[in-house]
Amino acid sequence: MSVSGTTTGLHRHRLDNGLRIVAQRDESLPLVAVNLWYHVGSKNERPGRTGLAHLFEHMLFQGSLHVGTNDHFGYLQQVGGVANGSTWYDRTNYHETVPSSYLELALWLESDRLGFLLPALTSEKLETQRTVVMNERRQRVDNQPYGRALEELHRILYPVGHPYSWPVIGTMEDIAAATLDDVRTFFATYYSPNNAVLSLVGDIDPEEAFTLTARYFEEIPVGRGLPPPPERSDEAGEGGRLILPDEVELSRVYMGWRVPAYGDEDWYALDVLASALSDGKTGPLYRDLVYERELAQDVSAMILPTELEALFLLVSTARPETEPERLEEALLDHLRSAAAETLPPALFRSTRERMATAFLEGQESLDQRADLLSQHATYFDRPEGALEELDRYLGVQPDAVRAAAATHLTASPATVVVVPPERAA
Amino acid sequence: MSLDRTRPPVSPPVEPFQFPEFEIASARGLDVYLLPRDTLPLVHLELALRYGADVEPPDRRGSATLTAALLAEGTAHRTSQEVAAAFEALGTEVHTNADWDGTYLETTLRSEHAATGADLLYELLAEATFPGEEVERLKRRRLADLRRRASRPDFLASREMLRALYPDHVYGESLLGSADDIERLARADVVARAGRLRAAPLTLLVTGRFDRDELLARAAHWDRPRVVAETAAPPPQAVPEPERRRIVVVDRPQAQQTELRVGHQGLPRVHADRIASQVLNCVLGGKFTSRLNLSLRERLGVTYGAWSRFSARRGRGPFVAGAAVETEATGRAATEILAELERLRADPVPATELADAKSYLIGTFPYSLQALEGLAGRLEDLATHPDLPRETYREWPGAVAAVDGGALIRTARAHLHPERATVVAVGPAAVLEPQLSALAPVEVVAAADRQRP
Repeated sequence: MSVSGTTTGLHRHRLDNGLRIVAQRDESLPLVAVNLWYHVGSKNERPGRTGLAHLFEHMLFQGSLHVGTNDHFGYLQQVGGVANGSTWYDRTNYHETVPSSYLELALWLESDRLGFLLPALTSEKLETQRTVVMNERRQRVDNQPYGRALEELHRILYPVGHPYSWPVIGTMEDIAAATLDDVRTFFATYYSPNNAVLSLVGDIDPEEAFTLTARYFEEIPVGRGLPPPPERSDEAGEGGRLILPDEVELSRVYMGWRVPAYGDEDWYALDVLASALSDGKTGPLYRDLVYERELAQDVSAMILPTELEALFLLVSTARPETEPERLEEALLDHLRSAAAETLPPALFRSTRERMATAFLEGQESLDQRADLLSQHATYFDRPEGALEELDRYLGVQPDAVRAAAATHLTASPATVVVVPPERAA
Repeated sequence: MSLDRTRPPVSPPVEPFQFPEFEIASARGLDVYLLPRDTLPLVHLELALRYGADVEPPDRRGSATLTAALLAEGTAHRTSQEVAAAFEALGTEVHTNADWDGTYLETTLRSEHAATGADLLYELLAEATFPGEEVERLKRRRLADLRRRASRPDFLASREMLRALYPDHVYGESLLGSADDIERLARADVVARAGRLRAAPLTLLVTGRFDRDELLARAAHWDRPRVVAETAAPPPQAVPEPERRRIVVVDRPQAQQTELRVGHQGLPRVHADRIASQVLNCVLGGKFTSRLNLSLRERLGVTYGAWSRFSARRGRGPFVAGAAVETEATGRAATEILAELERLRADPVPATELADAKSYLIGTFPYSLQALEGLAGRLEDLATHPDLPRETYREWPGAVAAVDGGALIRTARAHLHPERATVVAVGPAAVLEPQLSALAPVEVVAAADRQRP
């Protein structure tokens, strides 16, 4: 299956200060997606100062030497730009899609906050964003039913001190404890052009875009030197099964396994497995647990694309009458089947068809394409990997799926978090 | 020339994006809207029926969405699982749902499967059999889903607002209905509704890369009976609004934050002030740099994000402003929201702020049309609101640009009513009641009572 359209190949460029730039022309709409990845995330933090990468991401929208406090969004929204950023375990991204004639505006803003942030970094801004982030944590985690389940799963799945053991948003205590000096040091350490990838996808001329990017970024010096990244560790976490009662009506179970990192062959095999099991209504998890036996309200399987190692996750909400243990056992039965027998041909075929359609749908968004380019450039120094991603999935054979399930999922017990209703606990 | 960073770079002004041309064709018994976009080998297909939830009788609430969902749960030729398998073999799935104004069956597929996909969609509409066992199965799942949703403070907040603004009115409950509504529905209700649905005006919407003649031939083959008369019911009658401000606190003693809403009835989709209200909403709470967000998030620091929204439906749907706020700051936040509404009524919006809102709306127009679903959504709007002219989206950027300060303040005075707004706060009543009682009399309800959804 091949993808055609009004797009051309990838153009790559690298500035002397190490900034890598990837550009791809697409003339279908008069827009350009500008997408910047910094190779720093929550895994680069330490206990006691968790949440710093995310808090810092907020600070980066507060203006810089030549950009007033609310003017980053101000300038972009004025021209019809759609902008955001996000923090993850392994990276922090900043992105905006603007009408293509405003590429230079986006480059001015991004280069100003990379090259000239510190003079504008005030304790007043830190205090404002600290409260915003605390409210974000309340809204997304502490005041959400089931909100703390995933961070608890991470806490017990990984050993103490493991870079994936704490939540990306950080603990409330650590968010409260961050100092202006922490923020300045974090910036100086990690926000360096040689720790960044800029991807541009849209109605641009790639060579002109490189010239323009160089104009804005080349004077920014390389940072002081990056510390070595945290290393993979095979040390086991406490594991087990944690009960976390909450103000909910229906129980939910979260089951996790530590599996090979994003990019590994088995990672792709496990993603195919996740898709086959839980996407759509003919996948065995939905068909058996939701539709036929009505044990579950919903069920999903997924694998996270993380760098040191990955997490394979099963999440399922139980019907009111179903005991969580019964649901867990049913989920494990399906994994055991997947480890013992290859996927039925019809299911394997429809999974592949779905992956191909989903890949095409992903191509509709310029920013999603740019983000995937940045992802491959950051993790593997090969942006062309983004264009080969679908082929990697389609190259996975049924027996590789079975073997990956057997090796990584059924050979070791799951780590489990159960969220039952408080009144029943 | 050395780089001057002290000012943003100047770029030439951008022409407003032109909504692409589309064709309206007729097939037997239906209209077909065809909007080609050749960028990717994808096509989005949708059957849109001008028959939504707002025509449900009060004792059949929830029947629109239940019937829509059941369209995918078995036909004369396929069981529920076989329907799913047919779409999944094409690498896709089908979505069947209803909103207040219409019922929709849609799918996005690779272009090579367009004809097969279109036939499958029509089979679901025309030949769904609503097996009794599927009706019961879906009811059970919906009841459980309602219980799950009722744990969410944001769901409790919006549902409480609907009940306050639309007592004894079809808009006064979510589209799913209440638990009592769902339990009461029987297969006979679904079958009866399906009969009326099938007689409603139908449009096939096609966007993406497709063979026009092939799809029109498929539609002709369906041999749908011609709809002789417009069978759509009139929009729902207006319901009297509360005459004075009201506050309802839904008590959740352990809440870590408060979900706050300020609302009243808004204006219908088709209205002379619709476009001015979009500009007004953009200024008020429709973007990051809106008044509500900058005030509540960046200045007062009491929330992660504040927003506002006018709904767009045949009748006067709600206007709501909201935010998840620090519980101790709820009184201040509610006061601030009401003050911003009042300010828009009292003082003209400064010219630069107005210009920024308009350029944001016009500038983000192509962004919202990147995906085929974005294009299809606009066509769906035209198909379900026949009073809208065909050129609505081609004219939209110009209509936005034409909104001036006078129109904005008139729209604010006509459609923002802080003096009789309803305030809903979901959080610990012991802490909230003293903060809010200065604004209006406070009524406290227990979440447990509201949690029987």
